[in-house]
Formats: sequence, C-alpha cells, structure tokens
Amino acid sequence: MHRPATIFLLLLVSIISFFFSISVGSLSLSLNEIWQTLLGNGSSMHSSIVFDLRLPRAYVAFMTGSLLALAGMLMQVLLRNPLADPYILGVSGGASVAAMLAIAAGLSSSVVSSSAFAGALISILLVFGLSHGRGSWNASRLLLTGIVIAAGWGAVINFILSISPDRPLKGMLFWLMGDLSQAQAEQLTNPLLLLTVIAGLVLSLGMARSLNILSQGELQASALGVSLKPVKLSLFLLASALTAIAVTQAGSVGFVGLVVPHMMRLIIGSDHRWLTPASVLCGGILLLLSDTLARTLIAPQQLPVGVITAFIGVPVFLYLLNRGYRRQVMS
Amino acid sequence: MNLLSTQQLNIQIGSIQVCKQLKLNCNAGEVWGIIGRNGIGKTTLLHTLAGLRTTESGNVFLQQHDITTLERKQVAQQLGILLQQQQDSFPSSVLETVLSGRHPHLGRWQWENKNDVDIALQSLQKVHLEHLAQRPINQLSGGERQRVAIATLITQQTPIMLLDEPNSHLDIKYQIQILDSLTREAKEQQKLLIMTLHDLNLVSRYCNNLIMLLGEGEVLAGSTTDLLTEENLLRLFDHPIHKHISQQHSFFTVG
Repeated sequence: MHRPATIFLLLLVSIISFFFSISVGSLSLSLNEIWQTLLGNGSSMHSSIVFDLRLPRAYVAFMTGSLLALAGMLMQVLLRNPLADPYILGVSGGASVAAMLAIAAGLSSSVVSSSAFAGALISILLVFGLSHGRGSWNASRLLLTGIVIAAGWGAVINFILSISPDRPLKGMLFWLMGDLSQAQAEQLTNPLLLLTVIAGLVLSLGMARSLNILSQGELQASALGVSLKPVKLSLFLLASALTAIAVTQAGSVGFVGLVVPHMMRLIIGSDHRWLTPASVLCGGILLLLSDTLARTLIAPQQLPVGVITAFIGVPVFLYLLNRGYRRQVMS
Repeated sequence: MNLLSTQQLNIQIGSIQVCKQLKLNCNAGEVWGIIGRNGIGKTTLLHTLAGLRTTESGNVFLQQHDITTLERKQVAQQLGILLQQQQDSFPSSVLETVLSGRHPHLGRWQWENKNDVDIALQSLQKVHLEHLAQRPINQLSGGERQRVAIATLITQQTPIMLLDEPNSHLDIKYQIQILDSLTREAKEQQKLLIMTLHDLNLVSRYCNNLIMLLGEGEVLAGSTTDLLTEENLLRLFDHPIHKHISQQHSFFTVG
C-alpha cells in the first residue's frame, strides 16, 4: 500500500475509534448526539457523559497507547532486538513497586500516579548508571542490565503481592495489568499528555534517518556519519521518559509497545520516517478500542485493559505475520 | 594530493601489537592493499584509518585534519568503509539500504530527492543488482548482500574508500568486475582505495601500493613491485610462496 495513504487511513480509523468509544456504554449515543454535544448543543446529561466520562478516558487511552507504541519502537532500535518492549529495561517494574506501595498505604489515585512516576525515574537512573559505568555503552550490556533490574523489580512486586491483605490486592492487580478507569475529566484541559506525544513524535522524526541506519548496526551507523553517543543517549532517555509517563497514566499495559511497531513494519516498512507516525496512531487506536471493550464487554464490571490489548493484538499480529510471509514466498 | 596519512601510529589490541610508529602517506589516485595473516590486525588497522576506533597513540589525518577532531558526519562525507559483516535488525528493501549511503550528505529533516535515488540506482547497476531494488534485504544470498553493501559505499560518493575483504562471498566474475570498476574509478576520478585482500594475484593485479602486517608491530609499506617478493611473502605468511613472471605480469603459487 502507498505509505501516505496508509497514514491517512490510520488517521481516519483514529477518528472513527474516538466516535465509537464515545458512543458505546451503558447509555449509547448516536453519531448525531455526539456531534451536537461536542458542538455544545447537547443535553446536560449527554455533555456530562461525553465530557466528564467517555472523552477524557478515550483521550488518555489513545495518548497512552501512542506513547507505548513509540517507546517500544525506540527501544527495539536502541537494543536492535525485536523482543524489546517499553518495559524491557525495568521502567515499569520500578513504577509498579512504587505504585503498589502507595496503593498498600491506601493513598489517593493521584499520589499513586506520582509515586509510579518517581519509581520509573529511579529505575531509569539505576539502569543508566549501572550500564553506563566506565567503558563503552553497548547494546547487550544495556539489555542485560535492564533485564536483571526488571527481574529484581518483579521479585519485589511478587513479594508485595504475597504479603498484602485482600482489600488493596485487586487494585494492585488492575494496576499491574493496566487500567484506565482512573482517567479524570481534568486531563482534557491539561495539555501535558498531548504535548508529550507531540514532543516524542517530533524528536523521533528528527532522528528517523539515523534510526534507519542504526538498524544496520552501530559500526555501520558510525561509518555513515551517525554520532553514536548522542543518538543512543537520546534514544534511551526519550524511550524511558515516554514509558514513565505512560505507566503513570494507566499502569503497565502490556503488548501495545511490543506488537504495534512490528505490525506497522509489516504494513508500512522499516523506514522510521513512516514507521514513527504509523506506530503512534496504531498504538492509540489499539489501546482506545481495547479500553472501550474493557469497560463494556461485561458491564457494569470493568476488565483490565491489558487483558484486552492481548486479546485483540495476538490474532491481528499473527494474521499480519502470516500474510507477510505468504507475500514473501509468492514474490 | 594527500588524502589520508598517519603519524607515529600505534595500534594495540590486547597483547597484539598491530603497528608501531607507523607513518603512511596515501594519495589521490592510488590503490593500496593490506595483507597479513589471520588475526594480525588488518581489520583493526582499517577501522583505525576510518576513525571508528581510537588509536593507542599517534594520529590519523584526513586531508591534513586530525580525524578525531572531525564530526562523524564530516568524516563520512570524505571517507566510506565497506565493513566485513552486515547486520539487518529490521530489514528494509535493497534500494532503501543503498540509499542510506546518502545519509552523510543530507540534513536532519531532508529527504532523498530524485538525484539521490538516481545515484543509488546507478550504484546498483554497477554491482548488477538493479533488478532486485525492491526486494527485502533479508531475502538476498550472501554474495548479493555483499554487493548491496558495496553499492551503498559507492552511493556514499567519497574520495576515500576503505574496503574490508571486498571479495568475500563473491563469484569470480563479480570479484573481477567490481574490482575493475572500483580501481578504474580511483584512477580516473583521483580517489583513494585501501583494501584488505587475501588473494595475492588480485593484490598484484590491482594494488600499486602495499601495507604488509608482519606481526609484533612490524609493518612494511611501499610500492607493490618492491614489496611483493618471495622473501617478504615467506615472512608474511610463514609459508613458501613462489612468484612467477610471464609477459610482464607476476603471479603466485603456493609452495
């Protein structure tokens, strides 16, 4: 498919997903009702449903999905490893431990979010300090340091889970699986999330050609004029910061960051100038649709969104992978 | 014109001394060969000349500028290197890979224009791969992948080209065609070519200058006719090699 057409199609699907997400729920809204409400002509009940509940949640879901997909794509290039995801270097592990301690202490959801962010930062600094150390900064040392730190956090998480009383346990599990039910109406007026996505997109696009070459290995990148140190450092810090903000919003939603970049590579190719916007849009769409299902599938009960991302992502990814192979064999 | 030179160059990897106080002067229009035993440091020397690793002491000068003071992008506009191994973590198409050779000539937000694509397509023609331009890079054979890497280097359009075993994986036909066209271009367009080679007959056919790495830091550098003697080759490879001369051409057989 033509690459600009693919981006346009993803934009279109993004808009449709927003409308779909706003329309479904315990009270379903027609397209016309949503449109009128967005223009300010809706009934007070409708505008409360749209502006206080569904739109903020849809917005946070979309932006979080975008952040995760972008962070996953950057991590995969930095480590030149197709199995890399935003959490592989332990960012979410640090965030989870801090968030669970806050949940166990019975603190409010905004404190849980800020402590998650602090935990993510601590983990980033820890991995950076340990893998940087003296000597060169190579991908395999970074990967192993990150994986070991992540495993350490995993053990702490299991420890907290096993000693925690029943009451906060469900909250902790939802946080661990990723959960968007805490999205607040105020986030619509707070531009931070949107600005983060835009900044991440612009910075990644500025590095995009260097990322293409970095995929051919560090030596070749250096031979073709890429200054490795600044590029690798920006990649690490950018991917980590995007992940930290994503987990602060929604806990550790799995699967989006791993699978969306691969899906888009199969559709739009490996050129990061196209892959970056495609991943941002597709990550948003996947998490938005998943969250819509998570809150409606067995309503009034809500499911953790991380479960749904995997339910949708696994078959879609396997289909694309299969199609990709068949096309290669035929060509 | 002097394109690449070294002063008092010392290179050491672990306990292996590759060269000691090496002084080299490589000029436009010359073709240099680097020969020596396995593990003696041919690749390390080539990487050092490309500024891809730091020297133990001494300097490499790219057109009179100390290479460590230049930005990688400035170096890549003047000097290209064919690496021994290629890595494709997230494979793109053959044409996209070859176009990466234009990277040092483009600004951060600039896209390749038609001229860049034409250069890339011409490079693919030179290695006879134009029919595979849209093929995913991970579906190529070893020899085809090597020719894509050479096309990428040609696309970079640098006055200095370093090649680490350009012949590996290549059929005889392509070995000769590619070396013919690269060395002809070096002479016609006043470029500098430095390559590691294993085949002495190709060395004597294409290289007018030689760097012989003898081990323990001892290096002979000079014209091929002076250096390529049976005596030097015995020291170099620790095995007798016979030199024959017929109709002004020398060729070598293993004793």
